[in-house]
Amino acid sequence: MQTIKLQSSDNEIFECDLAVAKCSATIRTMLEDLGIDENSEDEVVPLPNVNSAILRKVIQFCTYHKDDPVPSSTDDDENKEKRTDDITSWDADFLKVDQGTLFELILAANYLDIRSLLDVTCKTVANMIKGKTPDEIRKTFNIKNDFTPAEEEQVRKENTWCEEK
Amino acid sequence: MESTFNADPLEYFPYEVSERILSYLSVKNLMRVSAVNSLWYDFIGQSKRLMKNVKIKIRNQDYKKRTICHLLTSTRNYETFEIDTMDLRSINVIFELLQSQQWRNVIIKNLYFTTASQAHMFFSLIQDSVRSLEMRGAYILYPNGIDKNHGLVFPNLRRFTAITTKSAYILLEMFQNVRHLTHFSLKSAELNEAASNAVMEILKSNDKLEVLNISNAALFPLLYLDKITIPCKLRQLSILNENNREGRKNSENFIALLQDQRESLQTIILDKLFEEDVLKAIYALPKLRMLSIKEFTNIDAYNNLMLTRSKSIKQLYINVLPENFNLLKAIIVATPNLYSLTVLHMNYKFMKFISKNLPNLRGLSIGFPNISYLPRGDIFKNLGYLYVQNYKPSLRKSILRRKFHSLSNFEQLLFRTLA
Repeated sequence: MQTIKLQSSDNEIFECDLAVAKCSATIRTMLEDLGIDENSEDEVVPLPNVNSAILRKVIQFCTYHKDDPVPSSTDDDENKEKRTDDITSWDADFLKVDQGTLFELILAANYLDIRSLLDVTCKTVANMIKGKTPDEIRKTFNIKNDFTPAEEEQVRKENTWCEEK
Repeated sequence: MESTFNADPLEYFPYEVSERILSYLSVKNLMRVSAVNSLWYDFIGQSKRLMKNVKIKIRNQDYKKRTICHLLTSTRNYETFEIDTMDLRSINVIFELLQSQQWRNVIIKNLYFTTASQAHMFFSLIQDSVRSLEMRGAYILYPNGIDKNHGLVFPNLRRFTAITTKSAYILLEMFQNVRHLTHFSLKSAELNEAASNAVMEILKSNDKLEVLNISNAALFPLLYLDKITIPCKLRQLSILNENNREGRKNSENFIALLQDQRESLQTIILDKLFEEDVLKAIYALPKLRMLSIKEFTNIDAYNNLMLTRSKSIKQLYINVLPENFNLLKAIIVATPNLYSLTVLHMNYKFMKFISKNLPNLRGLSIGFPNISYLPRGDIFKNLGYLYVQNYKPSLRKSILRRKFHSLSNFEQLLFRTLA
């Protein structure tokens, strides 16, 4: 099994399967651009935007999912179903982390361009928002309300005209 | 989960990531959370991706109960506007709303205009922005002609549906300068000669047209009778409830239209098929993927039917009566690559024949079932979807108890009872 070395922002080196690393479109592109191929085993890929704790989680996720079928790019189109209740139990367990870790995982998934991880983490945050009142959301994310009661009422009234298309 | 870290996702994440998160919310949820603060309100209200699913719906009774001033001053970018049953007293309110936004999609259900010039005014307010227009019942109470020089252009209109009875001719005349349509549907239109000409003008001058649906429109005989050549490459053609009185002559013209469009047609939906020659012409289409025929008339003509085998047809919807077994046989044999099949009036003989000849079927929809011929696990090995319609509710339990072995493999099993 061919491996590759990844270096986190805090300079820890992770050795992982090439197939696992290639879940990341960003790493795939880097390997092509840097011309790293099968023979250059000592090459280290620097990932300055991902710290070691998060990179460890990302590698764990990609190792588990490395054989999943690659979703086609058309999946992202407008008619995509808005389901968030289809998170597998492994993924749900994997994402039982504090909000800070979850948010950093999203940034890492976005930077490394790992679609499946980005999808499932974004769904998890969407689930934290779904069904909550504005006030509950403010508490969940520590958001300050800059609306006056009258403005809030205005938004509420405007919303009564809105429906699902 | 205890956490000392709290951050507003909309501030923390890049724009696309925040948008992706919010895209998982329903419109109801989305609108509610836009009251979190002004950042959330603006973020959601300005996002094309999120606002695309939002529709403003206005009805007469609502309008009397609530005031629309909250909409007129809104800073959100709405795209879709639906008017449902409004009368004349509120037309000025609608004009104000039309001016307040760049509406891309407009849906009209039962709207009454007093005069043609009022209708003209209405459409001129949306003509630059509108991309999709559905008229399901638009009426002009005192129709009198409009000045031809005031024809509207609709530079961005791509999808146009006209389902309307009274005074359709005036409305259609307003649309005869449309040039960029991709979808055109016409239903139940009362068409005089002027309106028919307007429709023919639309058909002849929209070379990007891909989908054409015509039903209950007095127009189609015209299309049959005058052999017309249309410049577009149709992907979908649907013709319903047409009285094809002229028999074979019409079929000849229809076959000519099919041959003219043979390189592009992928979907054909017909409610009545009169001539075996039409069916033969359909099976000779090289790109056809989906075929739906609701009724075969003149049934004796099909007794010794031989069709070209179509490798491309993947989806088939047919309604063949049990006594016309030969017709069903000819069709199934000629369509070996079917992926999904709907047969109303299924019976044991049909089912046996289908399971023998289409072992790779993925989806099957049947009507009026009798449990004795429902599929079991040993046939239809690849069936993932079974849809049973028009069955007696009392049969439901015995259908389920039948336990075809692959039931657990079914991705979808749907039942719809006899209404």
